[in-house]
Amino acid sequence: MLKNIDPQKISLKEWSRQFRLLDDSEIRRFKYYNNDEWGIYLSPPATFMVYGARELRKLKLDNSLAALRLWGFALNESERLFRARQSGKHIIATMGDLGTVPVIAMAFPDCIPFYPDCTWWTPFFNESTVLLDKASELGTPEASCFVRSTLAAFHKMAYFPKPDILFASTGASCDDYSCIMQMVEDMGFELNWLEIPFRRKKQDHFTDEKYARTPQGLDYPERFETYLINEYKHVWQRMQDLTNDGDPEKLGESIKKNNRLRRLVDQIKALTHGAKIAPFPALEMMVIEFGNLYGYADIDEWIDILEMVKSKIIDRVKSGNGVLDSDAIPLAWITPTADPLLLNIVEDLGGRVVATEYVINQALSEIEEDIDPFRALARSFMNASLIGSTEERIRHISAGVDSGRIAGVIITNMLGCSHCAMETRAIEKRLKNVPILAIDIPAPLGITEQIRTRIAAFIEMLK
Amino acid sequence: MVLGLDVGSSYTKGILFDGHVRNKIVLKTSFKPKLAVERAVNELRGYDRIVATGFGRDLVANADKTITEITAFAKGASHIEPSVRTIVDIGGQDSKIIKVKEERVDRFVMNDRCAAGTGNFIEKIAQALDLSLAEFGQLAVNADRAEIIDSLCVVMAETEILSLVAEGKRLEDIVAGVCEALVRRIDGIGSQIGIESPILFCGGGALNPGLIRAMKRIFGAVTIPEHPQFIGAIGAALSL
Repeated sequence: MLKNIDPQKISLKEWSRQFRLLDDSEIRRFKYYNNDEWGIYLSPPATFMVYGARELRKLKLDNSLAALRLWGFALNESERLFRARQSGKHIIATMGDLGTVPVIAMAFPDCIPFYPDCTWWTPFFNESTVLLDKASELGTPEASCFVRSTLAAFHKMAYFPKPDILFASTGASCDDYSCIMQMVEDMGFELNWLEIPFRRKKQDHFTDEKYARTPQGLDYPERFETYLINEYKHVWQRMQDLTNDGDPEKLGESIKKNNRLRRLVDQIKALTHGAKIAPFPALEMMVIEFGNLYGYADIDEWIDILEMVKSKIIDRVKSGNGVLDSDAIPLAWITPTADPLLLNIVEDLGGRVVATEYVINQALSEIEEDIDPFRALARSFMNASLIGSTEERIRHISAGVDSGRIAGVIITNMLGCSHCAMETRAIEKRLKNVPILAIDIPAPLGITEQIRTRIAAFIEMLK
Repeated sequence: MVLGLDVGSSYTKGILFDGHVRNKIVLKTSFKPKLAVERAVNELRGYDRIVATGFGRDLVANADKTITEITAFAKGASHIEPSVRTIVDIGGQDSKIIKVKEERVDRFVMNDRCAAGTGNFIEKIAQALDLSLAEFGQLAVNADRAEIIDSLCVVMAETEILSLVAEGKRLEDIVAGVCEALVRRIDGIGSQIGIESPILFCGGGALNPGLIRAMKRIFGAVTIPEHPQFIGAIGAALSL
C-alpha cells in the first residue's frame, strides 16, 4: 500500500519497485472509460518506456497513487483512443481550438474529442526524432515550431485513430497550428474550419463598435458573440450529421461537466500554489492544467482522477508535507515547456512553480451556465490567451506578478514558434518588477549544461 | 585556506585563496574534465575546503559547495572591483554578461546558441589563419583599422575572411575586425540587460590584447583585473 509514504518525486525504477506494493484490487479499480471489459490502465510508469516513451526515464514523478493514476491515464491516451474507435465511438479531432469545440463534442455521448496538437510533446517523451524527421520530409523545416510533429503523426496514422471529423481553427489562432492544419488538409484529410476573431481592443477612432466584457474582465466587440455562435452552430450541425443525434440539453450538461473540471483544477492550483510547501510537483500540475482542454479523451475518468489528486494534496497540505523544500523559490512560468524535463530541473535546482500562464486561459475559466449555451461558449472563448494583444497577455501575467508572491519568472520560448518570437521579448521588457529568465527550448535531448547553469544561476540570484 | 575551482569547458582554473590568491593553476579541460579536476586538486595543496564552479562543477566529487559561474563571477569581480556594474566574461564555449548590484547578480545573459560570441570563435579563426592565439592577439593590436566582418557564424566568417585576404587586406586589420565582430556580438547580447559602466572584462578572453582593444573601442573604459582568468575561482572561494 502507498498510504504511509512520505511525499517525494521518485525515478521510474523506484516507481516500479513501489508498484509491487500495490494490491491487485487497487490496480483493478481503474479502467478505460470505467468499463469492466476494457481493461485496466494502471501500470508502473516504466511500462510506457517499453512503448517508446523512453525519455520518461529521466523524469522524477510524484510517488502517490493519485499521481500514478494520473500518469497511467495521461500516457495511455493513444491506447484509449484506439479502444474507443474499436468500440464504435466517433473520434473528433479539435485542432488549435483550445477550449470550446471539445465541450460541444462532449454533448454527443458517442463522441470522443481529442487534441492532435498535443503530439508536440511526443518527441520529448520518446527519445526519438522520428516525428520531427518525418515532418521535415513533409515540408516543415527544422526552424518551425515543434507542433510540426502533429503533421507527421497524421502522416503516420499510428499515434491516434483517423478522426471521424477534424475541426481546425484559423484567423486569430496560433499561426503554427494553423499552417500545420492546412498541410494536414493538403494530405487529403477533410477539415472543418472555424475562423477565430481577434479580440480587438477598444479603438478611440471607431466609436460605433459596442463592446462586451467577459466575466474575467476582457473587453471584446459584442458582434463577435454572434459570429462565434454561428461558427459553433456549424460545429453542432456537423456533429449532428455524423451521429444523427444532438440533444441541446446535453450541451448544457457538457458545459456543467466541463465547469466541474475547471473548478476542480482551479482548486488544485490554488491549494498547490498557495501551500507553504509544494504538495505536488510542477510537471504533474502542467499535465493537470492541460487536461482542461478535453479531459484527455475521457472527462469522467479525468475528473475522478483529479478528485483523488485533490484529496491527496489536501492531506499533504494538512500534514505540512510536500515534494520540495520549504525555501524553494516561488516562480511564475509563462508559456508551456515542450520538454517536460525542464520542470523537473527547475525544481531540482531549488525553484517552485506557483503561477502559470500556459496560453490556455480560455480552457481555465468557467463557462456561464445561465445563458444560451452557444453564447456562453462564445463568451468563454473570448478569454483566450492567444486571440488578443500581447499587451493583454502581459496585463494578465502582471496581475499574478504584482500579487507579490512571485520572486522570478521563467518564460519558455519555442524556437520557430511565431507568437513566442513576437511575445517573449515584449513580456521581458514589460514585466519590470520581477527578474525574468527566458529559455529557448531546444529540440528533444537538447537540454544542455548551459541551460541548467542559466536556471541554477537564476535561482541563486533570487535566493 | 579555500581551493576555488572553476571547471570551465576549455580550461580548469584553480586558486588557493585566503583573502589573497596564494597559488594558482590553469589546466586544459579538453574533454577530460575529471582528469583536470584531479590534477588541480593534487597540485594545489594546503586547502581546508573546496568550492567548485563552472560547467564541470558537479564533477568535483569532494567539493564542500558548488555554485554557478554566474554567481561566482559576480562575487569574484565585486571583491576585486567593488564598484563594478557589468562583468563581461568571454569564455571558451560561452560568454556571459552579468549585471551586478550590491555585489550580487542583478541580471545576466549568456550566448546560448553557438560559438558566435565566445572564445571558440577566435580560436577557430586563428586556426584557419594558421596563427597561435598569442600571435592573433598581437596582430590585432597592430591594426590600423578594423575590417568589417559581418558574419557571426564561425563558418561564414571564415569565408568572409578568405575574401578579405584575397582582396589583399592587411592581416592585422582582419584579425582586429574579427575581435570587433565578437565584441559587437557581446554588445548585442548585452543590450538585453543593458551594459553599464564600470565594466570588468574577465575570462580567458581578457588575456587577448586584440579583444581588450576591441572591448575598449566599443565600450570605452574597461577594467581588466590582475587575474582575469581566475575571477570565477576567486568568487567560488569567496562564497564560503
